[in-house]
Amino acid sequence: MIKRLRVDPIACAAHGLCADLLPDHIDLDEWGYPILADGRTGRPLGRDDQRYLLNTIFLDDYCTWALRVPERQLQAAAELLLAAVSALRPDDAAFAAWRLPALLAAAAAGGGDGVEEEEEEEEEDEDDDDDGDDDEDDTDESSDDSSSSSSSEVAGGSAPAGWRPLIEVVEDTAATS
Amino acid sequence: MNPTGTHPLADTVPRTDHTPQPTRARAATPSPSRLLAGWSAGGRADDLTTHRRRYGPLPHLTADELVDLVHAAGLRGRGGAGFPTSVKLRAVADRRRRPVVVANGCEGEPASCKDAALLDCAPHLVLDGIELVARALGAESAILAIHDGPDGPGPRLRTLAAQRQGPVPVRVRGVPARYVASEETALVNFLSGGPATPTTSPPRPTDRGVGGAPTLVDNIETLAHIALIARNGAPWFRELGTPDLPGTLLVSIDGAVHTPGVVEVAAGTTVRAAIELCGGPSGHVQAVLSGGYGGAWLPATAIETPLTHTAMRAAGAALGVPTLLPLPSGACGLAHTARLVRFLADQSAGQCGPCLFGLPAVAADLAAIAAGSRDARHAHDRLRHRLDLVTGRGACALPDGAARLTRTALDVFSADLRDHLTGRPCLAAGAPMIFPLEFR
Repeated sequence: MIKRLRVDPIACAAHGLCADLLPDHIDLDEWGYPILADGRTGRPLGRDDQRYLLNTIFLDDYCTWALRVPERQLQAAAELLLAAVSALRPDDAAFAAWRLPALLAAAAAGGGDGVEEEEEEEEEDEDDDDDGDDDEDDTDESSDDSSSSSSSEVAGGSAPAGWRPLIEVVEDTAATS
Repeated sequence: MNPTGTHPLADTVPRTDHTPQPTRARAATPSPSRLLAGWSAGGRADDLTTHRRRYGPLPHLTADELVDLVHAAGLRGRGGAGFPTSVKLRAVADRRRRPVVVANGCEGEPASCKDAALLDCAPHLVLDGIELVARALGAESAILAIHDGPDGPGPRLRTLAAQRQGPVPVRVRGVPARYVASEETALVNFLSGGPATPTTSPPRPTDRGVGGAPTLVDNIETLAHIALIARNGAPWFRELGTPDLPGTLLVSIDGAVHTPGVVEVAAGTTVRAAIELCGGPSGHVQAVLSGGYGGAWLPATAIETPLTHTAMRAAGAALGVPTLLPLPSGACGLAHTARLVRFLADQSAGQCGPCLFGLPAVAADLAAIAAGSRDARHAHDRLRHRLDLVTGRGACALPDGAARLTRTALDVFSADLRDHLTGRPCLAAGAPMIFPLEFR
């Protein structure tokens, strides 16, 4: 199965977090907007790679989430996210269930440092959403179809209505495997 | 840039005097007359009675009949992309929900005036096309979108539409006169009550368009052709044009020609022959800007290129919305390109970073090169890199068009470019723009 990353060029606000997340796949241009590398030259993420988990579970939430967090708290929030994700394994039951809003709620409940979220806000610029094209494939083993496809489903149970990802992991229909 | 804010050629462009509103369009007498038959015969737009007598009654088709017929005719959209119309029709016909039909007559491309000319010369043919398609698809509503203004065609078109009493009433809607406002997704966004700015797709308008309904957005010339194909059949349509691009094209011709205007030609007519229909070049031509401001430069050596998407692409240019602007040899192609890209940058909706930041940067690099400034060499290096950065990274094709225009300029004016880079810009670099930049 081949997956492609797509950027929503309208919603993207050049925070550049995606490039931190997937440095092998995403570069930033001189204005800070993501350039998706050609998947064939990028190193596919292995299932054990922490970033694979981030990609599969959180990439679509990532930018949206970044837009909701006040600038000064970004670093702390990113660390929180990484810590939470690093505790997950691919076979974890929570793998597919965990979505960012749930994470944020958990963080807030556990008195984690002030990550704030306004679920509403995203909606206006999001309904015009989504995507152009772009490349970048990352190949992974075909055995994990069920977990990865369900987790890359855009509308996870906890996503607010009208919510759309900025960067979306989509299955390339043209793909063989 | 033209300081007076008027079209520099306005005085030399004949205006049609049969309608209340001024227009730059002049329908020259072309070789084939299909879309413009009424105008060619009578020198004015047909009224409804004359129109029906000339073309005969409008047939009724089912959705399947329509799709098959348009497929057999090989009709491609006349809005610039040249996408097979039957595919779009099929996409909408296959949806369960009743669709909306949008006839796009906005003509966002400033160098083009063929849609204005068509609305001026053959409004009932356009309305025929809308009616036929809307009825066949069982549309819930039909909209004719135009760039309207104080002297615009809105009131006249509303009157004409009201006379027809078709099964699906056609609403005439004015759309802001911006370059990107009539891009398909922007138009749908606007007609759904939003701003006239492009949105990311998917969802495509054929899936979810105006008010959430599947929406067919077709250029008005495309719809007018459908009105003729329905009456005369697919083989008749293919009698003119090429196998890949059958039928006739409306081509806007301006710049260094004797009588700027709109001509109807068989697709596959050469660039030279089309220009000849406008009285020929008014001087020695060094290159032709084709496909509008987001189009491409075609070198004078390629002037025998046929007007089809494939042939123009193979020549390194683009057919796009058919527009030919010959550049006289005294003018500076690089300086013109710099101004055109600046114009395109100003037309950006400002939504996508690579367009918002990239186009002004590209325009500035080009201006530095055109001026032959000390920074020209560096500007040139930056420019090559930035062209890659802006291509394919916007929600609409505006940045791609600007990049293509710039790339072809660097190729076609490569001898000039060397001079500019070595601090010897041409004398005409500071001369005013010879192409129209204003919206009507």
